[in-house]
Amino acid sequence: MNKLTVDTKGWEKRTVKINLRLIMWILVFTVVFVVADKAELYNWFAYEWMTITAIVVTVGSGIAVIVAYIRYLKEVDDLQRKIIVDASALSLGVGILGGCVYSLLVTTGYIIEEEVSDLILLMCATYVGATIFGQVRYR
Amino acid sequence: MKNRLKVLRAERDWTQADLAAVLEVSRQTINAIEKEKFDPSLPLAFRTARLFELSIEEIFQDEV
Repeated sequence: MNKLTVDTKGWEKRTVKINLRLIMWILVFTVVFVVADKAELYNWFAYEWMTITAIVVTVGSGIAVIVAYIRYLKEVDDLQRKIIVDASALSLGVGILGGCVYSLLVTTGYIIEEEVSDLILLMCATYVGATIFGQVRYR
Repeated sequence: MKNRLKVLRAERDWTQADLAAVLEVSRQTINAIEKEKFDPSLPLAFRTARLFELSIEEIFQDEV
């Protein structure tokens, strides 16, 4: 019947742009966070205002990641949004449950040195795993 | 939810990629809808209906 002639470049370009923007902010946040953390650890900050600045910049770049993520969610198509929201929900659930169990293990003495990064890693791994599962499921 | 997307697309000799492009979604989304693994949102259902010049009910049927 009638052949479709469409310009796909607009939507594709927009999708690539928001993907890149999100990746860029995640990279910025990661670099800022690591530098701030190591600087504090190795006493690179000579004055307190430097520490406060590092914290403010870290929080600011973190907020930028959240804003970029919200924009990304608004822009992606229906299926991708479902996969991402499902993965986020599972990650949140695992994070809350994992946090409670972790806290219990610390209280009972099964874990001696508590590390917040363990919980963040668990949530990230769950998110990545759930996203891959979603991509495979709806392939 | 059942749908006639694959039939309607085939009648017009469109590929999944063609349909995905005009509806501004990924080809994966069209494939998942056709295989009835995923139900589209209302805005996407409206866009699809407009494209095929049909009502939403003529494309998507509830399974009750």
